[in-house]
Amino acid sequence: MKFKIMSVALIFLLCMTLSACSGGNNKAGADENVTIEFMHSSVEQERLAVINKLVDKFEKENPNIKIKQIPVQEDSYNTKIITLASAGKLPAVLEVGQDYAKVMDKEQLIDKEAVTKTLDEAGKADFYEGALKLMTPEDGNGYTGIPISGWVQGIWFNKEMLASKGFDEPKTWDDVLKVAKAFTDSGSKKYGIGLPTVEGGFSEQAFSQFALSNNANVLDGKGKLDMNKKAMKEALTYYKELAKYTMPGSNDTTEVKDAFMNGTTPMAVYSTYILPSVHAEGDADNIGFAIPQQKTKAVYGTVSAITISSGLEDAQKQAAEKFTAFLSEPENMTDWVLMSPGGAQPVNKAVTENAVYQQNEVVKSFGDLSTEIATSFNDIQVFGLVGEKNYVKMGDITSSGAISKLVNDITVGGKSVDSELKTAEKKIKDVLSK
Amino acid sequence: MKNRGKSDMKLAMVLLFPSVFLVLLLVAYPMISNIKISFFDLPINPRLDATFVGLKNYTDILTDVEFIKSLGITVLYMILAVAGSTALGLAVAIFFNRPFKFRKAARSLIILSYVTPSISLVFAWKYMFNNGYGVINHLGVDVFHLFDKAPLWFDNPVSSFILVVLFAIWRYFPYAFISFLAILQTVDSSLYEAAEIDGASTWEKFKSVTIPAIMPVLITIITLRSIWLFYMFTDVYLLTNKVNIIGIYLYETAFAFNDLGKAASISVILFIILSIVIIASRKRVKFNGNG
Repeated sequence: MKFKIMSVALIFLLCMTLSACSGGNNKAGADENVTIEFMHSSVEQERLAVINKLVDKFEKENPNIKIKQIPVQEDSYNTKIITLASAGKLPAVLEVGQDYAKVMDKEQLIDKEAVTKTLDEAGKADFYEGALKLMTPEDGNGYTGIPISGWVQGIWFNKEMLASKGFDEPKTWDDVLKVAKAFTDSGSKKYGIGLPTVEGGFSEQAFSQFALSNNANVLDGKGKLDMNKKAMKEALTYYKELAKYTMPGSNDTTEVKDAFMNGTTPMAVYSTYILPSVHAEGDADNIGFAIPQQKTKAVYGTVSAITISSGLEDAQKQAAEKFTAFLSEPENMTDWVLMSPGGAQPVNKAVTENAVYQQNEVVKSFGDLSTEIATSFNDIQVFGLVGEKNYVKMGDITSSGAISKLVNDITVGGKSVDSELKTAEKKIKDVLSK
Repeated sequence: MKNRGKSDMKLAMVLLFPSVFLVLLLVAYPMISNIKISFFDLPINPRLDATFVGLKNYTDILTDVEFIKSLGITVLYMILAVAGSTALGLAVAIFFNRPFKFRKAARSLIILSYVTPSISLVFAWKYMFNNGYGVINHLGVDVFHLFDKAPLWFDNPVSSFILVVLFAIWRYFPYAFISFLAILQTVDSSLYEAAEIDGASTWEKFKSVTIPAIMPVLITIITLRSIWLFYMFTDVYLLTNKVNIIGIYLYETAFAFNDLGKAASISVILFIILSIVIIASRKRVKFNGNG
C-alpha cells in the first residue's frame, strides 16, 4: 500500500514538474504588459551596451512592452535555435543569418507574413536588392527576415606591395594568378595569396565566388543538382592552381587573416571583418578590394536579419512586429551596423547616407572604399540562388560539407578535380534523396 | 519487531523519496523521451506533427557505412587512449611512489594537463603543430632537418588520428596517476620485502604484488575512462575535422542535418553498446572479488 502511495505521489509530482516546464507562455491582453524575448549574437560587452541602449529607447517609447534579451555566442547559435525550437521556446524576435533563415523557413518557424508586413512598412525600396534577394524564400513570396547588416567577401590587396612589383588592382582570374605567382617564395615562407582551403564553410564561401564568376552554380534553374559540368571543373582547376601560391595546409580564417596582416601575403580572400584590424594598424589607405571576375562579377556576401518566430499569441506578435519595425528604422540600423564599424556593412541606403555612419572614424578612414563595398551588395551571388529562386535545399548541401571537403581534397589533399567532383556529387545526391 | 520493521520502511521511503524523484525526473524521463524520439521523424518545430517511422532510424544508422566507420575509429581511439593513459599514469605513479625532493610540486605539475580547460590545450596543440609557424615544424624542418617539407599534421587522417590519441593520453593520464598513487601508498612494503627474500625480480614483484593490489582501481579507471572517451566530442572536434569519431557523427546528425530522430537512435545504440561493456567489466570486477 505504502509503495502504491509513494508511486502515485511520485508520478503526480513528476507530471506537475514536467507540465510546469512546458508551460510559461506570456498571456496578455492588448492593454496589459507584454514581455517578448529577443535572441541575438552580440555577447561582447561593448556590443551589448549598444543593444541595451536600443532596447531602453524602445521600452521608453512602448512602456507596455518589455524586451528580455538572450545573447548567445555565435558558435552555439544555431544549436540553441534547434533546442529552443524543439522545446517550443523560440524567442519572439531573433537575429538570424540568411542561410539559417532558410532552415527555419523549411521548419515553418518564421512568421513570414508578419516579417513581410513589417518590411513593407519600414520601406522596402531603401534596402539593397542583393540583400533582399538573400532573404527571399524559395517560393518567392514574402521575406524570411528584415536585413539589418551584412558583410561581403572579396580579394583584399596591399596596394604598396603590389605596386612594388609593378602590379595594379587585379581584376580577372589571370591577374590574380599572376600576382600570386610573383609573390610566392615558399623557401622564405612568403606566399602570393591567403586562400581558404580548410574543410569548412570558409572554403565553400571563397570557392563560390570563383565558381559563380564563371557562371557555375550548384543547382540549375529548376533546382536540380547541376555540379558536374565544364564551368565548375574550370573553376575548381583554377582554385587548385591558385592554392599552389597560398600557405600550405588547411587555411581557415585565422591563418588567412594573420598572413595578410603580417605581410606574408599581399592578397587575401576575406570578409569585410578584416577592415577593423587594418584600421587599427593605421593602414586604411593602403588596402584595396577586388572582386574576382571571369565571365561575370561575383561577390560573396551574407546578411544578418531580424525575424519573427511563428506561433506567437496576438499580443506577443504585435509587440514583436513593433520591436522589429523599431530596429529597422535607419538611425537604429545605423547604431547596429556601427557596433562593428568597417566589419558590419549597411544593407540599407538610408544607413549608408546617414550622417552618423559617414562621420564614423573607421568608415571615414576608408574613404570611397566604404561606398564601393556597400554598393557591392548588389553584385552578391551565392550557391543556390538561381535567378530569383533561392533554393532551400542549398542549406542541406552546405550542411553536408561536401563542397568544402571537395575544395580541401583538391587543394590540400592534392586529389584530382574529376574524381573529387564525382565524390562530392554523389554525397550531395545522397543527402538530397533523404 | 514487526512494527519496528514497518516504521523503518516508512522512514526509508520518506528519505528515499527526493532521490527517487530526482532520478525519475533527470534520468528516467529524458531517457524514455529519447527512446520515444528515436522511433519518429521529428521536425524541429513542435507544432508540426512527428511521423512514426518504426525502426527506420535504426536500420538507416546500422546500414550507414559512415556510422560503422565512425564506430570503428571510436573504438580504436578509445582502446589506444585508455591503454596509453592508464599505462603512463601507472608508470608515473610507480615512479612518484617514493620520497624525493620537490615531490609535491612535481605532483602538481603532473596534473596540470588534466585540470586546464580543453580549449586552451587544444589551441596550444594547434599552434604547436601549425603548418606555417608551429614549433614542431620549426624544430623538425629548420633546426634538426628531420623533414624536407613541413608535414601537414592535422590535414592527414593518419597523423591526425595519432595526434588526437596522443593528446588524449597526455590530457587524461594524470587521472590514472592520482588514482594509482593513492592505492600504491596503501600497499604494505613488507609484501615487496617478502618477495625480495623469495628472490623475485622487479617484473615479478610488479606482476605478483603491485598488479593484484591495484586491480580494483585499475578496472575502475579502465571502465570510466572508456565510457568518457567513447562519448568524446570536444577535444577531437576542436583539434581536427579529419577524425570522425562517433561523438562528431552524432552532433552532425542532430545539428547539421537537424535529424533529431536519427540522432536519438544513435544515442540508444551507443547506450546499448556501452551497457554491454559495463556489464562485462562489472562481472570481471566481481570475479576479482571486488564487485
